[in-house]
Amino acid sequence: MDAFFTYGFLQRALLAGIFIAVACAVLGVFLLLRKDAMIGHGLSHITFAGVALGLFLHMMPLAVALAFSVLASLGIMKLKESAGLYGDTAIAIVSSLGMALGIILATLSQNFGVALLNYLFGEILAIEPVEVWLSMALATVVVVLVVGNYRKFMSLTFDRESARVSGIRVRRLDTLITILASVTIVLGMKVVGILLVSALIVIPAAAGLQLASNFKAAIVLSCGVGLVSVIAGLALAFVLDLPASGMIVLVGFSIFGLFFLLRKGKI
Amino acid sequence: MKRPNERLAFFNFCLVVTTVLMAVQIASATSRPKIRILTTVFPLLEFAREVAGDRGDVRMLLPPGSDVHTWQPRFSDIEKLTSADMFIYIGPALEPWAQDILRSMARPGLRILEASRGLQVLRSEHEEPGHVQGKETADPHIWLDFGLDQVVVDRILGVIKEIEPENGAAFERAAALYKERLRELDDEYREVFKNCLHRTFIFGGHSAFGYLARRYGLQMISVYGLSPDASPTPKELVGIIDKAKKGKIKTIFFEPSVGDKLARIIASEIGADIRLLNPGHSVAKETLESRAAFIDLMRKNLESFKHGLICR
Repeated sequence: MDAFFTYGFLQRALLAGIFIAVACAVLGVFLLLRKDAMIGHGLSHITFAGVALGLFLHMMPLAVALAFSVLASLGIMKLKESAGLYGDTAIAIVSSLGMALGIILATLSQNFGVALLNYLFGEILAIEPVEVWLSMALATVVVVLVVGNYRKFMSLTFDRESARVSGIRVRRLDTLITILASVTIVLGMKVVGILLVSALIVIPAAAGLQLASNFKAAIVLSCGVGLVSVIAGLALAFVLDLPASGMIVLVGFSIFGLFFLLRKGKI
Repeated sequence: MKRPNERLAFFNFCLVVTTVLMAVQIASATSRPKIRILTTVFPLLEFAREVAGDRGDVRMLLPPGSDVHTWQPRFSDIEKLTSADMFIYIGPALEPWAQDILRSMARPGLRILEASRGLQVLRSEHEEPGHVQGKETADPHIWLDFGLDQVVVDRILGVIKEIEPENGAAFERAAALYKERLRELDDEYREVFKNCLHRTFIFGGHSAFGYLARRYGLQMISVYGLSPDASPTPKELVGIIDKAKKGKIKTIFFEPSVGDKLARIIASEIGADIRLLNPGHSVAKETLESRAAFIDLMRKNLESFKHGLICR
């Protein structure tokens, strides 16, 4: 285990993972309560198209993916509001569009090798110092915004109508959460990959909501689950010599299962 | 009395006919379509281009910069195959799609050369318990053994001679010339590796240099397996870093198609520098068009080795 203190790349993986987990866990609670659990899934798929476009244009895939993901998140909001679609139809449309564009662009760029696979399954061993700083900044922004606007976010989440009546700028907060979610997805992609990043948003929040008695507790619990998932997942991956991204999600799911059984009184 | 005149007329007639026939033959020889050859990887392109010379229209089926390990043919590629005279590929370990396509096409005019058939193929060092044995673990990177390359050049020569026997002598000369260059390259490598501080090198790419390592008595430790797909686990990476530390290695190598990311990470952990090694299977467009580019690439690799293994 002392490997984590000896090797810089493991420390960076751990630090970035921790910050991303916190940002995901906090946002996750809001998104789940808003019945928007699938948004992470949808955004991660559109991020795939962004990465493929970045590889195609030989530009920074992360930057292109970020632009793509933010635009897509705003698009999903717009579609939801004005196209009269039920539930998560808008997300389903945008996510399949993302995959379709991704596969076409990836084929065109003839760069279907390692680069793309690394984005799909995470590249936690190759996290650069600047990415650690970015994820720390993101986590700070998310936490500060949530703490600073705690009441607004809460009333927005539980009762949109009265929030609007009481003068909260609902749209602006909605947009803020969606943009934060897309930034989180793009940074989380490095840690667990496009295919699993939505798990970091959904599973800790879902686990927290199993046991929490109030909103605050849910956020704190969700963060705890996210942190344990990342730390234990990475450690287990190291000890068992298995892929880190898969282990992180597996640990998260185990905690969720445990909390579920606890709530049902089965344990 | 008419006889001699008639004879002369006949002679004249014959002369005209032969001249015409010769002219036709010369014309047909110059306008005769070139031998259309398609290859999968760049070294095969260079070998075929060198042997066929002016008579060859040699192209790569894969576009420049694409990675053969993950490439899949599209409709247009199959079309290209139907109009070729010859198709050269390494073998099922590198181009698993080739056999299926060739079988389904079944065009009698197309001559197919599986370059690695019957050669002494290396088995993967990345063999893990439970890993499928057989084709998948055969190392396809035969072109990084300059001795095997000469065998492949001869094989290509054989097929090209079959297609155009009348130019056989020219093809043979060209092949001999190119093999001589490969021999020189081989000698240079031998000479350099005689006096090196290290015999182990760490490659932050896929396990491509196994043949080269075997030929010159080196040991390769690569981050990826035979195909650059599955990322290493943390433990594997730590294992490689530890080996590098123990071996007091001062240079980590990387390859262009995988990028220098993991090489840089290993290098920064042990305080080493990084150097480029190009396995040569996929190259940029400019390299593709220049002559003897494969040999030049291999010379550049040798420079990297010289620096990295600290050779005198």
